[in-house]
Amino acid sequence: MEIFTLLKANIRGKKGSFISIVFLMMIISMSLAIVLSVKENCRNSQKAMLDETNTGDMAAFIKTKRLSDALFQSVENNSLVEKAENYAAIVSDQAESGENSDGNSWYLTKCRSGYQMYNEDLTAYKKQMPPLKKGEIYIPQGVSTRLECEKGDKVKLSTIGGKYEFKIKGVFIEPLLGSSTIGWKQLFISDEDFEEIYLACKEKETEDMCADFQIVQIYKKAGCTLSDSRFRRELNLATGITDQSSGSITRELSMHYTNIYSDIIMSVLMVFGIFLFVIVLIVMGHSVSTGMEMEYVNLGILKSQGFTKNKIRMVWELQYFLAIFTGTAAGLIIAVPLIQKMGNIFQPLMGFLAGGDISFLKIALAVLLIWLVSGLVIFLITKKMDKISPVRAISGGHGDIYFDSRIKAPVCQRGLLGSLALRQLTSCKRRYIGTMVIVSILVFFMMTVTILGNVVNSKSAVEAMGAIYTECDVSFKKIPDDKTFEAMEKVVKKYSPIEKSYYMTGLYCSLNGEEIHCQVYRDPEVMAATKGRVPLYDNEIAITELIGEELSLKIGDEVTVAGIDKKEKYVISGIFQSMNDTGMTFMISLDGAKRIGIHEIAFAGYSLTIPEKAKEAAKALNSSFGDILEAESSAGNDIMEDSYVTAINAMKGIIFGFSILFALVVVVMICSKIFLQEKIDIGIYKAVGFNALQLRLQFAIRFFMVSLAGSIVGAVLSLLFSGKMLNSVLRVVGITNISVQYTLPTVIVPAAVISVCFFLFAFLVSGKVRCVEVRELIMME
Amino acid sequence: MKQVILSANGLCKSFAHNGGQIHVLSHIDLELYEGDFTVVMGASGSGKSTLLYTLSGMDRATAGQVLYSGENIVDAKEKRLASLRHSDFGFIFQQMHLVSNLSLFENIIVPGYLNKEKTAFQVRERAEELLGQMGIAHLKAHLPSQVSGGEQQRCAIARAVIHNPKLLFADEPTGALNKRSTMEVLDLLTGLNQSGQSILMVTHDIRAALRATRLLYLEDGKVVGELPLPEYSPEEEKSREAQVNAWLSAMEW
Repeated sequence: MEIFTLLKANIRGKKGSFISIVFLMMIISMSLAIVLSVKENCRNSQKAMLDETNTGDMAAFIKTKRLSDALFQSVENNSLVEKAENYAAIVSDQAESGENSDGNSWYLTKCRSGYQMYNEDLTAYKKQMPPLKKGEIYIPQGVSTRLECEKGDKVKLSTIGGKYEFKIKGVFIEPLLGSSTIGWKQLFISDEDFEEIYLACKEKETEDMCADFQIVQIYKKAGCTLSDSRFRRELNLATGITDQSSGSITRELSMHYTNIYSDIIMSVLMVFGIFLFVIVLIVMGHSVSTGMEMEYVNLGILKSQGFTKNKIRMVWELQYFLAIFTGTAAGLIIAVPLIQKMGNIFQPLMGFLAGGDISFLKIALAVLLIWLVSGLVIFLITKKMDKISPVRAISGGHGDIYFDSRIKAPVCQRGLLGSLALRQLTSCKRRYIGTMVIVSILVFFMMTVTILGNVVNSKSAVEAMGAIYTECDVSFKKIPDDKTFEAMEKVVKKYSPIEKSYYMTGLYCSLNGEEIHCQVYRDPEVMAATKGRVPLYDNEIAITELIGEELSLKIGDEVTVAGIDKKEKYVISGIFQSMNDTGMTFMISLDGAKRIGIHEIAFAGYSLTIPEKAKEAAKALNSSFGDILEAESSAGNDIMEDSYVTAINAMKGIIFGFSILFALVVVVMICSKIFLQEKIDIGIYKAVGFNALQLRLQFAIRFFMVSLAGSIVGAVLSLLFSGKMLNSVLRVVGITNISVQYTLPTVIVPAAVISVCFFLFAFLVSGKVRCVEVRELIMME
Repeated sequence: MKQVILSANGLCKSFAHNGGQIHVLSHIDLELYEGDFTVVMGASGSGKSTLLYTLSGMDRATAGQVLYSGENIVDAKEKRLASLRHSDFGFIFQQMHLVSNLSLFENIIVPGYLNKEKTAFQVRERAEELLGQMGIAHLKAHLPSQVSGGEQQRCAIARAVIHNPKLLFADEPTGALNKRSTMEVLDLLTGLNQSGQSILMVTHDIRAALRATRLLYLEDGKVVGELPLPEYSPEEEKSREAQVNAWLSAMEW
């Protein structure tokens, strides 16, 4: 009963601390619950849809003429394979809707069963997909995101048989290729359209140009324990199915690509959440130790009245545990409706609804861990109570709250408030170290996320990471020759000097038996190598760091690259960086590719000195070479698609928002404690003629200084670790060597936001100074 | 004829307590004169400190007026009161109340800096002079916690007079000191008064009361007695003590 009475009194007396800890724990548990659930929901939803649509463990996209009966049967009869199914598809290599276009291979098929479609506002699924009429098309949401089109809009698809216009009848759930992060797409058209386009393509088909494809769905045998990628490799070595295909994708790979951005963002938020927890521990530690400092006499009195040290500690521990439990419970309750909402942010990228399920087990484990760590911290800090001697405590034997500092900041008449604030800081540094650590963590994250934002919005940064940013893009309908390239450049130069140009093709080849994306460049020197050099001779290739790790390869190693019909040996000349196929790609020169039967250049791009002229240049290219190419201008477009930028901005918003919120709570908690500790000093300053405004400003300046110092530490941490952290997070998209660009706003904005918030919050909290009457001094006597 | 420096008319101060009111000061009319060393005495709980703080504007009166240079400071805004504290009034407390993280020298100069009439150089020069006058020049760089109570109080006196206040308020300045320190502090205050400083001090220490040029006796929140005294001189201390003791006995102290 006595414990309950003391507990009640303690909570009543420290309402501010209690509420703050409840609030902080609420934020932590809420964010962890959201992050863990959304991450799991995204994957579970995709897996459920893949099962529902009866999608194979691997899908290969292969020209019909290459899928011989013998090949199909060798696949079907392979010991690892349960079954294989194939269906016809027509490939389109250019899609347009309004101002937007896409040059990836999109597979047009007849409607297939098992698929669901979205309702009108894309918030739920409909089981039934009404049959399509001629001229109508069902698109996955990834197409809607890439082409910025919706139901009712028109979409034009180019095939070798001609360009066809369709009206979008609806958006369907395509779990394998439906994400906007995957270039290939599967679209449903009416049987009538399919037959008509098929015949038109067949008529125009040549040795090099062929639109007649088969999509082969291959299912692993039940009990096959191989990973999907291992399964694909083994199957290819046994049958050559992927060597013969234009490309293939496994379920695992599709899930990786589809969830790539949700994984990145959730990982960053997870790390941020963990650091927020560290902040909470610091705040809690500060609260307990300053609380003990302030309650020193009372604790001595309790001891003198017969309370054992364990009983007193138990009261304190219970008080903090109660706050932790209440906060966690509140956070979990609030997280429930937010899980669905947060998952919806990724819907345009993933192409399906993430669902609102709660990952009970993971959350329970995380919460348990939070409780254990917090409990341990409180237990260790309250241990100091054991040493309180009742006699010393009651006789006021507790040491002064200030310490003589070696750093003696001078007190000056000019800038009196600032110099007094600095003196206050230097004479009780210990009290502010926690605050400084908190600020540095917050600023580090704010800077890191700003850097990430800079990366996706900066042409030079994106280029440094292996992407080529051009204003005028060309996709070829027929294989061009070198003379055509020269003629094309002449046309473009009429409008603007060319800063940089590239001619390339992207396809899948086998590298030491593994199907890997291959970038063929006519002039590989347009790309930069991070180590060694780009392939200049016909017996060289360059690989990414990820390929090197995955296949245990390094510069100087000899590898076997297989084209469709030929295999050749190559030497690795360098390491480069690319986001293509999330970094699982290698580079070869056109001369080198010719050795394995690859002659075609499918794309070209021009970076112009006068980007505004790109539209006119594209128009001129189309009118001069319309029969062999399709040119378009991307000048003025965002460097990355809106949906990615939106997701990254959402993350930036969350981190900035939480940081400000944390700053507020931390300031409220720490200021309140310091305010109580310094009540006498405030009285003295008032007695010698300081007014409330001056004292509040001094208080706020002090916190401004702490946050400024913390910001500097945060900036240094960012310089040291932001790149490393982003590299480890962005490995999933193939970035292993991020181009960290520090602009002045990158450093200034987070530091200014936090410092101004600390200043303002400290100024507001110190409003209590007005209530301190000099009478407080009389009371002391 | 002495000039009135501060006056109180019908000054009342009450505190809310258990739903009722405790009247600590009750309709006090009082005038303080320039150059006087006025000492207020009274039993514990008679309202001495409350009178001092209400007169100095540190605490708000419940009713009545405190007139300083014709201005009723009872109604003065916080900013005006702050300005009075760093220009016209000085304060000495029983517990010294030095800012513990400022050195003795800094404790003295900070309020001096607030008063913009003097340059930083002048303030520092004056502080050095006061430190010498108070006999603590060698301790100027020490923190309050590193010096004795008497030395702290001498520093507090220097702080209180750094801006040459018109009126110095002292609340039992010797209450926390030993006999030697008490005498040193009283000598300093006497010296200040004899050089023209007006002082209002509350105390229950007869040794302190002997230094007064005017003694007031407070009982139940009212001034019930007054004893004018000549300027203090150590030679006459014995006779002065007898006179004050007799007066205090008459006041039933």
